Amino acid sequence: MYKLKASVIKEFLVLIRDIPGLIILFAMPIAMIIVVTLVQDSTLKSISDSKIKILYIDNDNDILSKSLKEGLLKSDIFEIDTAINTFSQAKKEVASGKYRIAIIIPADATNTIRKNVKPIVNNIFAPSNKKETNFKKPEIIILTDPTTKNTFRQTVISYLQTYTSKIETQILFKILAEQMEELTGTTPDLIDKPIETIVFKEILAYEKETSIKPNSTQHNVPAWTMFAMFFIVIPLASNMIHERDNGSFFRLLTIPGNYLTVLGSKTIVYLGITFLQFILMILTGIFILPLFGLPVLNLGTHPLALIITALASGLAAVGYGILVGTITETHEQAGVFGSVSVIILASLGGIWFPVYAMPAIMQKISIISPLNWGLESFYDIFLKNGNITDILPEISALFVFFIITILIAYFYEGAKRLRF
Amino acid sequence: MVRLENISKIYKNSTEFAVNGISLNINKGEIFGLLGTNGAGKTTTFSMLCGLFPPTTGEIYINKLSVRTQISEIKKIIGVVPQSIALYPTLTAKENLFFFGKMYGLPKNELKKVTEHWLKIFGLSQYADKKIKTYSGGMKRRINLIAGILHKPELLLLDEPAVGIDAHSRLEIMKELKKINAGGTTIIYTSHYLEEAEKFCTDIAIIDKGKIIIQGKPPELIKEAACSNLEELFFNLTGNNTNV
Repeated sequence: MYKLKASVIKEFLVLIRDIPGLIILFAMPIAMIIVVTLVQDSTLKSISDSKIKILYIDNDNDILSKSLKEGLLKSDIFEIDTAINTFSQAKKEVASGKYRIAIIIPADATNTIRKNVKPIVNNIFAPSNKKETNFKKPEIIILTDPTTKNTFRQTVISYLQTYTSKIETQILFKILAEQMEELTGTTPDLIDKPIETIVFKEILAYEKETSIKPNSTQHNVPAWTMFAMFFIVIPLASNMIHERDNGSFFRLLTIPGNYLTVLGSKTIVYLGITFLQFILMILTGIFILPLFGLPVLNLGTHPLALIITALASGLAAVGYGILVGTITETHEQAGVFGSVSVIILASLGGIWFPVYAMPAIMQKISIISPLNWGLESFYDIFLKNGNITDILPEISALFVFFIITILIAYFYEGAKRLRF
Repeated sequence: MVRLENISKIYKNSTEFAVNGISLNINKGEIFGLLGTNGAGKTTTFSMLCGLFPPTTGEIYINKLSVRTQISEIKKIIGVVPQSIALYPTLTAKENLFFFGKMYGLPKNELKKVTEHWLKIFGLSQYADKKIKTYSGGMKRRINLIAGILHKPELLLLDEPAVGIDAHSRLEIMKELKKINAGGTTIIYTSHYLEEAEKFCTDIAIIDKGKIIIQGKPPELIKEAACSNLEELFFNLTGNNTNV
């Protein structure tokens, strides 16, 4: 214990005097969690905050174009610019990146829809072999900047499609009403708003009663906490290589004692760091993220399960860091291998992209990532109000991973010297 | 005290002997110099003496304990001063010495006393709380040495303990090592500074290409070969200028 305590003090002093290392360990994850949560809070919400500039060319100047324009403005997501009125100019502006999207409503679009109404009504009563199918459809052109991300493009186009479809129905009703007025001489009640006969009600299927609501904070805080914890691999591996390079490791090998004491002290100090990272991330979720208008982090009602998950995840991260520090020979190797492997494990583990949305093969592979185990355990607590029993499989896996990595590092180090 | 029985070492991925059939007997109280040019096999022999890795063939005994099988016992009686500055640069001298002293199992009070004693002896008391990275080369060498002698080892293994420092610091270190030896500690010392070794060592062995080419007491060896000093003897035997 005396040697372990001395070794822990030494590790602690070495660590706190490594300022760049501390910045990597604490400041970067906090910055990352704030930025990513803000960005991911909600694609459309963030879009509405900054308002997307749309170039709108109205060649129709009738109900369709006016209603669409009105709808887009009402949506609070878009800002309409009508300064340009030709296709070629619009194409130039979007290509140059000045506008992300341009919408061009063709001339006579509303009239075309109007002309379609009569055959549509006739079709209702016509026998199936005499139905009119050859409708002329107005073509709304959407010009998009090729650098715009697919997901964003799809979101905007889907929004436009949904909205135009509502307007189309409205126009049909309006024209139908006009025609009825012509036929009957009485003005029917116009339906100003689209009819919604079906509404969706989402119920979150919790196994237990909880006040937790899934949101970007509940998703992002655990995800980036796991990522930050595993980034400890770089300073930890670097610390081990530095120790080897400057000869102090050689001196330690000539001193009576077990190598496990050295590994134990590193584990204790760096586990403490991961736990501190966890606390900082939690505090960020509770106090800092709300300052940016993001939801407050809800910790659930099982703090012990949360602490155990943080410790098990920290142990797995430290074990992996010690293994990387043992098998790599230079700072360059440790830096590149450490960071790339953590990024791969994070991608597989669902840190950036949910595992359920991955291709089937990747979903199967994702179970090898310890970041996935930690994240699932955090999600059990943060999103499902899970308790210790619920997280037992994940934390057991994390603990076994730690033991395996430490044992490999221990025996690899011994074997390395025998291989000389 | 130390017996090397026909030890050889071939590194992995190499076909050449780094050390080839060395046998030595080093008695208690000696200052034994293992001399040779860079790459002669000194550091390999030194590393095997420390138990860092085993010889490919042969046996090493320290106090009749086998380095191959009883290294834990041996570690308790040896002190090692590596060629590199084996210290933590961001820790102060005191923090470094306290750490290594505690790793040797020295109790707190005793450790405090010996640390202060050696810092005073080497004129470093006023720098005790300064970080090692702010030290000069000579100061670092002295702390590197203290870290290996805190626990009063029976056998002190020194690998080029004064390499790369000014003559004054070197002289000071060698003077203190003489005193340590006078206190009963056997010293095995590797160096390529032959002038220094001639004055410092009671016995020497010259290694060339992994083999011992001569061994004995420096004055006797010089006399027998009718040379003026150890450097001339070395040049005659190996054809090398050791300080190059």
